[in-house]
Amino acid sequence: MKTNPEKVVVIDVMTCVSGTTTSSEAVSLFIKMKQSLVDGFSIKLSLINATPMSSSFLNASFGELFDQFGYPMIKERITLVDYKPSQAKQIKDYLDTINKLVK
Amino acid sequence: MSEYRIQIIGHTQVYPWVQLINANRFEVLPSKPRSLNIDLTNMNFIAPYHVVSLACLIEEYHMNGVIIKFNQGNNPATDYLDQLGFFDYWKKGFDRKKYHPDKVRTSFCLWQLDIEMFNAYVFQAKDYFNRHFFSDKDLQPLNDSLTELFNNVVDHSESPVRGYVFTQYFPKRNQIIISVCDFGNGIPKTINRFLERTKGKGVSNIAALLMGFKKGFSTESTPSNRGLGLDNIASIVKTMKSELLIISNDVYFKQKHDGSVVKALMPEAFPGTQVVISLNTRHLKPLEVEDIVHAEYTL
Repeated sequence: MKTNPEKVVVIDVMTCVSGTTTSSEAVSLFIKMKQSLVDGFSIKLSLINATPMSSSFLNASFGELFDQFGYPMIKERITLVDYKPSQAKQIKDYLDTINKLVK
Repeated sequence: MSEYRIQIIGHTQVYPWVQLINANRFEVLPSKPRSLNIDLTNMNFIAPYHVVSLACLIEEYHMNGVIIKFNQGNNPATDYLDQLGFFDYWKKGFDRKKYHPDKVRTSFCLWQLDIEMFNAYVFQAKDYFNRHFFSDKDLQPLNDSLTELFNNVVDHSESPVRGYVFTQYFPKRNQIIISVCDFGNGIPKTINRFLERTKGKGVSNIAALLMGFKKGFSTESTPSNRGLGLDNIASIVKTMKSELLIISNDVYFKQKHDGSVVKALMPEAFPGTQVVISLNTRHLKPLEVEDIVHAEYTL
């Protein structure tokens, strides 16, 4: 899936979701990220004011992206912005964990 | 029958309490009573796990149209329940899914689990204990524990009775105790059903519960489950040198503050799952304000 490096979309997590606790809350974020990737965009995911993410939320958002696009695509096309270091670490650790589990 | 009476004894040991719950469930009665009388006159002891499982027991009757009455007696345990507002919970018009402040400053109210209220409970509980007791401490472990427990109920329990959560701080013991109860399938039973379906046979209930803690093991109750929830809970508890108690089906499981585990089969199964997390507040980290980073972070 070729991308134009100038095709970048900023997705604000807390604008997409009502919370970050349950898997059902994650669906709208997953759909938005998925569509952006399918359309050839790179994503800057803004975590401004983002509340802590549960494992269920991560499963239904990043986990689903992992299953459908793979870790290399996520690393290539999604970056985080406006984050606290602990938030970035949580998402990175989650992706590393599920990556190890599939090997 | 017109009225069914349950005499509640607050057993300090888990198993007699399990027996009391089982012996008095709505489904074991030969006929539907018009009213349920919860007799608390001899209730000599009460712990957070009694509160939530008693709430589930009563909820089962209420769901079946039985009027709930209390014989409160005069003892410290019933005074405590009174201050929690417990006796109002099944009155007509009372919304158990909403936040109702109680008179016990060290507790955060008894709430009926509902997916609509998860975020509210998680963040309000953290905010409450931050404001009143731990203004300089990071209460994220409380937040994370509640979140994982709630999702466990929503994703796996299939409980016909709405479960309950209750959080109590014990300052002298340096503990915040979170107790969640549901009358669902139970963790070992859910896991064994999955194993029988996918592998052709199950394992012992203790082995099944232990499998639930294994990172990456999932019964796929929802499409996105990846088997991280119980492992997350156990990690939080271990990091904080705290305790985790799970009573699910006939399994008694306790992870102690030093990480050691006690597991046993009870003679009788609990009708679902009860989880008690006792967070040691001496191991709460200082609250650090993190700066927002704007530079792009590559995953």
